[in-house]
Amino acid sequence: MSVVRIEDLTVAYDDKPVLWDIDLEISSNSITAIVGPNGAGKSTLLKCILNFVKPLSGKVSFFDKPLKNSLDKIAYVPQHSSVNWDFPISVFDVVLMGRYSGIKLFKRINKEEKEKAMNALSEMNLLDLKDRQISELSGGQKQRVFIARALCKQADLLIMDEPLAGVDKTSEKIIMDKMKTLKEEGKTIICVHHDLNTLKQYFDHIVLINRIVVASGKIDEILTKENIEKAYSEVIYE
Amino acid sequence: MIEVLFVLIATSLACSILGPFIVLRNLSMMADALSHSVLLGIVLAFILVGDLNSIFLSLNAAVFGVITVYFVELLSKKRLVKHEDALGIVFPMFFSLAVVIITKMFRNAHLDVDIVLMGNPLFAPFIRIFNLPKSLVLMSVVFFINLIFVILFFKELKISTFDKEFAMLNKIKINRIYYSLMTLTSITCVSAFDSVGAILVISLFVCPSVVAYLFSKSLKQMIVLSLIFGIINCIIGYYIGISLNVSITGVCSFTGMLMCVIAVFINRNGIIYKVLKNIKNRNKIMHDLILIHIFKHNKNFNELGYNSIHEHLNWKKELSDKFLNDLIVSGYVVKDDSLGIYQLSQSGLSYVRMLLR
Amino acid sequence: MSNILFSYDFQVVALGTMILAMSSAVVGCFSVYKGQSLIGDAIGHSTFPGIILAFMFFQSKNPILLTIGAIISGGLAYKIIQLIESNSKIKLDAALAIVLTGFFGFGLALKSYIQGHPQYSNISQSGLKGYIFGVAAFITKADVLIIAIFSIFVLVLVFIFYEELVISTFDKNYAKTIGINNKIIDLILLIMMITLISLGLKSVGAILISSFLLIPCICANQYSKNIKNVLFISMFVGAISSFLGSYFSSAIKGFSTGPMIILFMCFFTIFSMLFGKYGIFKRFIKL
Repeated sequence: MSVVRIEDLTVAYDDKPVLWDIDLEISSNSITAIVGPNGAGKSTLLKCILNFVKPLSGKVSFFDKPLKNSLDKIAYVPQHSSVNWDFPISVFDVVLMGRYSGIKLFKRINKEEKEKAMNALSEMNLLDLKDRQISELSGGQKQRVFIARALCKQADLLIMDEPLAGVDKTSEKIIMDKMKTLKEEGKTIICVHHDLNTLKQYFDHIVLINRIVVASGKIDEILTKENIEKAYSEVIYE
Repeated sequence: MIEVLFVLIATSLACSILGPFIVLRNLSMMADALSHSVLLGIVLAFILVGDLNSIFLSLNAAVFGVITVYFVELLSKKRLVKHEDALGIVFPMFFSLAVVIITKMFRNAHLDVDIVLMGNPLFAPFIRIFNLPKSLVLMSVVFFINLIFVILFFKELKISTFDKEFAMLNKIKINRIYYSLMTLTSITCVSAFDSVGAILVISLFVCPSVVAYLFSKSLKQMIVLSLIFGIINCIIGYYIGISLNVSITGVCSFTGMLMCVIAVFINRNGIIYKVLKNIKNRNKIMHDLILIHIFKHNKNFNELGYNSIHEHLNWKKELSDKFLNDLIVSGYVVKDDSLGIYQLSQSGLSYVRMLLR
Repeated sequence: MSNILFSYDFQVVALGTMILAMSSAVVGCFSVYKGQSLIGDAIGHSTFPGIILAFMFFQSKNPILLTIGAIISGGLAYKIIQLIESNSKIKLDAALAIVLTGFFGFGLALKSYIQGHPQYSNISQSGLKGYIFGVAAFITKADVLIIAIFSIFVLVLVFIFYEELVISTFDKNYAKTIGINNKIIDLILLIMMITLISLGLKSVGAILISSFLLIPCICANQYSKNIKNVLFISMFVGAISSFLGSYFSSAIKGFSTGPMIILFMCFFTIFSMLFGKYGIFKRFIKL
């Protein structure tokens, strides 16, 4: 079964096309890296399949259903450009956001929800920091908080935009170890990734894009020198 | 009467020569705060001197403007508050204090808070020196001081406005430049107070420069245009104000905003231009998109069928038919009736190759 | 002293400004964290022509009509700020200054128009000037009732949308991913902000009303890094400042209420910046 199916997706910002006619399937229970040069449209692809950016053409389905019927099963870790670091909120409260479930009058966060947040914190090795204000953390710790928030949702599909950018080695290990266990539990993970050296170590599937899909599939078959050169060169099609 | 217009123009020149630097350094709201808080300086000096026309009054008020700036910078440097929030606390504090003192102590003095905001240019010709309105002389002097400052320190102002780090590396004293600029801004505010009031002063600092910013390619051009737009602004405001018998300063400020809004629509990258360009580009992208789709799924019956292509693109049939029709007319796409699908023509194929290169 | 405390006029003014300060403090915290503190200042100034136009149109000084005029004018000002900022290279602070002076200037022009116009001469205009600086002494029981009703409405909105407000203010992108409509949340916040500003015009005035939104939040920030505590502390600061401000302006003739309240807010804030939990002195001790 495919977790994500993208058909004929084209995206443009204002007047510049970013992605041309993308066809892609992400298979269940895989860890997939989306790789490509700067400006290749990696983040745009994620934003578009999550419907933050409206495509010009094409459609996307999750678990064979449209996005709005499967939001509960998806967790997303964005790049943090939109985070307001001055906001007075503790690490624990940020993670608890992962349990948000729509507008309800008189909602009360029960014990069970709090336990789930605590579990997510301990999985990311953050229990000692749970009462800190978010801006007091280091870059790697912050990233772990946002991943804990996504974990807390217990989604089947985890989508992350450059989770390892600007992250220290310890945090990187904690994060990627957890990804491995998630995969063993049957979950699916999609990451935008920028470090070609660690691809084989962390991922089993790969999508090479540069405005179009250059190649996609199992990492052993796709990650060839030829494909990489093709993705990172100016000329895409011959 | 025409002397009123001259006072306005002299004020606008004094303001709009500094305006470009205020706008480019994002100090517009700082100028707003400053123009409000100099009131406290005026009030405190008035308590000491007891004469509204004393030069000491103006100087003290100007000093207070600089103190405001310094206080805002201090609060944000100590990371007690964000820069803009620091502004939001310092000027209400000074302004409130001034208002409280005025309403308590000077109920009968000619220090009316309204005048501070609105000014009264119509009174300007009645106070004269050298047989000229005092405000006209004063504002002309301020204009020349500002002009000389801008000419002498043009290089320093330019570099420290565009690239602080580069300026520091080149041993430009950016703090000295910054506080000099704010001191002059403060002096200009205070001098313009009794003739045009706080609101129009800010407007004249910001609006002409913003309009100039949208139409100019270099800093020099921006300054010149800013002066010109300032004059135009005053002439329009003056004649409307006179003919409708309403507050000239009010109309001038309003005109300033209208000029900015119009400029946002009609400048080279303005809204109108963008909308037109987007429509044109959108059509091109839609056409390119179809061509690439046909290229990629060459001879695929599902993807390219007469009645199924729109489903794959997730469009309405009329939309895809319209664009495909355009492409058939321009010769990039042909209909293959034997298979019931769309195909690229030779020229279409080479166009796509070029596109993906 | 007890004379003033039991005087009816004082009670009305104090109650009105305290309720207003508390609800403004809550909404203000969110707008401050959204980086909109100065937008409040611009909107405050921009409500002025709306008041005059409403007066001209209805030929009445009915507070509800004037407030509606102020709200519409403030909303329009916000739209123009957005238009300028998102469609050109002009930065927010310049856009704010443009709209602030433009609208306020328009208000001044309108006011001078009706002053010289025979059509409006038979209706007393004396109260209109008060909307620039606020004259708390003019607050009536009806005004307090309006303030109270709207404040309760605002607080209920904050209560219902609390989680959404927090998440959307903290992290817009994330809010989107979990199905929160940021545009609606922003709109709710904006409507609350403009409504409170408009309600406060009569007592505090167009020029200083935005301080009611901003200053209590800054003060509270010196004591806590937890949003719930910040909200309660800023409500408290707003309320106590309003009480003291009203008291002193009633006790000492000639002191205007709005500026007096703001002076107390500023006093508490500066004090907190020095001696608060995150203030300067505590930092020295840590060193």
